[in-house]
Amino acid sequence: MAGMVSQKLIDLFRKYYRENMIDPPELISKREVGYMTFSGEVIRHLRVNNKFELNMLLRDAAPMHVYSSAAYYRKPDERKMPEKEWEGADLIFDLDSDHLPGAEKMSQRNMLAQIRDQTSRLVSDFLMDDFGIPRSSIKIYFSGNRGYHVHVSDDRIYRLTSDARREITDYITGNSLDESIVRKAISMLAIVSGGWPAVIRRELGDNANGGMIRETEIRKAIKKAREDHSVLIDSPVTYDIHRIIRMPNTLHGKSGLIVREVPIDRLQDFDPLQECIPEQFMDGEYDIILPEKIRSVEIGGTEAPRMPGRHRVKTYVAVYLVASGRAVFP
Amino acid sequence: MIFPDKRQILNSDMIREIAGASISEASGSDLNSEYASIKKAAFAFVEGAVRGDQSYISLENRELAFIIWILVAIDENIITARTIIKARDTAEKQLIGAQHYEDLEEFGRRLGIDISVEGEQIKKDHLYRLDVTDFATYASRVTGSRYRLSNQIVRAGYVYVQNDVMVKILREAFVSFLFGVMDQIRKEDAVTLLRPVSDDLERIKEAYRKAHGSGASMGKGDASMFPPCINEIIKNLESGVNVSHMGRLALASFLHKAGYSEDEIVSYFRNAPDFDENITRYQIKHISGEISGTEYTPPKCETMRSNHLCYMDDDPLCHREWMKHPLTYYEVKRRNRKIR
Repeated sequence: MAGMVSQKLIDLFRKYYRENMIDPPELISKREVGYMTFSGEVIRHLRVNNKFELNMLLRDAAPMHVYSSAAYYRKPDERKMPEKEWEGADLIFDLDSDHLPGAEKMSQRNMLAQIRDQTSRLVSDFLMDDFGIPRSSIKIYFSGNRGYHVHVSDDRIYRLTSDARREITDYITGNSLDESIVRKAISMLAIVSGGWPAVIRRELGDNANGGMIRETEIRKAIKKAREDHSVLIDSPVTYDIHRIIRMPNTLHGKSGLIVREVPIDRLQDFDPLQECIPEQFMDGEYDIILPEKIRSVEIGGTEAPRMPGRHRVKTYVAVYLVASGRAVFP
Repeated sequence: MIFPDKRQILNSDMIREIAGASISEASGSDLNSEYASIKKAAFAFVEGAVRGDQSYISLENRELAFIIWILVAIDENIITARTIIKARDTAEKQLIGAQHYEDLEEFGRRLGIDISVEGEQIKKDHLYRLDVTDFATYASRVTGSRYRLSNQIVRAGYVYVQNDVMVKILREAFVSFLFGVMDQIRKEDAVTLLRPVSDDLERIKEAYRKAHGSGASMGKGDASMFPPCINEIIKNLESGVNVSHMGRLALASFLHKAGYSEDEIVSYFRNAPDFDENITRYQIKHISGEISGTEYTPPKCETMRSNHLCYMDDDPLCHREWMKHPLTYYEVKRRNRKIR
């Protein structure tokens, strides 16, 4: 946003909030709510009691970003953490395609597809297969811009400490794998098979059968297993049990796209650049100005203009380009 | 063998009778003399813990119950921490020596941890199965790769571990249990109930003051420039929290690298629940290279993180991309101050 905040963009966001009734996250009255205005002001420590109050707030503020805590508090509107009285928290995973190795050189479509596959593996391999979390406790959301958020709400996990959550993030990223200890676990796989030791044994292939596994072989297998099997999550989001995260069904201020739930069985072919455009932005056209040439952007099935100058584009293209800082309204 | 039993620990009638029992009483019933010896054993245990006595003292359920009330009545962090660590170690020894896996199952059941055995018990070719959330909760308090979730067999919500790992999990769950039970006893109630033994309580406090009364004198260095991880370890040690081995190693090697002397480093460890000056000095000499010949460097940030020793919160310096080592943090802060 080159200096000035565009009133047109704020008006479009307000239109979205005026014409929709946003469904709040479960137990909204126990969560801390916060938002950022288009002028950059951050407001936190709000308590919102119900759907009605939330929608009043959003219509009034027309915020750029909206957040709520993964945590449940007795007093979410206290300003100091200890006084909020933490009661528990959902388990949250943040997958951002910006963190993919080589992301700078990838196309937007490729980045989103890769991070979608990682999200899919997180849910099926780690959360459901390894941790035994029931499908019904898992919700996947498009983050609104470049990735996905996975929310787990389950009695088994909601009291987990920050340290316990670190144990889980370490597991998913394949951190702390130790050669000699993994070797020991591999020898136990005959009793029951699972986890990293099973993945590493698969990487070892025939080498695993000879009984003695050479040091260099296991080291190589661990490295390979991590490359193939680990999932690129932003760990602090998971183990910070007080963090506020983007609220589902709100708009991402840097894209104008909806933070929308993706049914687990629809993830494989989900295209956020088609399916997360608000209805309010489908009609009409706007003039925008591109100050300089931009990289290829495809949204809603249309290729956005790339060359510097004035262009007339569909509303959602205008919102996307202006919100992401690529273009300005004249 | 101890089997943690919350109802028994919270049984104030029993505690009152143990506190009032006396060996010399003429009308002494069997129960009275039994209670008197429980009382004696409980005080001996706490005193041993305060003195830093490393020898093994056996412990049974009612002794443990009375010990918990003593700790609440005294209400001194460091005495509590040392005693609980000693109780923990006692339970651990008992669990290691347990002849039947049912003992571990029963111990776990009382702590709310569901354990079962997978494989052939008789051939010693078996693993313990426990819920992945129980594992994550308690293993996170034990340092070392052996206890990391990544290195375990995990499947369908369960973790499968060998005996030694299971014992460590139960040990940590036992500590949580003890602190949890203590929270349910009000200090006033404990003081009232233990009035008959107020002299013994005073004796323990006095022994503690003698051993640690001088208070730790902090080294002269620039603690204000220490990274949050090191400050957290120092804070925990000061308040008698049992810091992990890796945490202690990090602190000692950090202080050494920051130019602190052996005496100064020792002073930071004086309040550790298991403080032993000779061992501490020996270990510091090891870290400084005086014995080992290799000078230790504190672990890098990544290692600190996976051992749950990173407390960066929102410290901006910690969040810099190039910030990879606690010593870098210290150096950067010192350099910046010099410039100013």
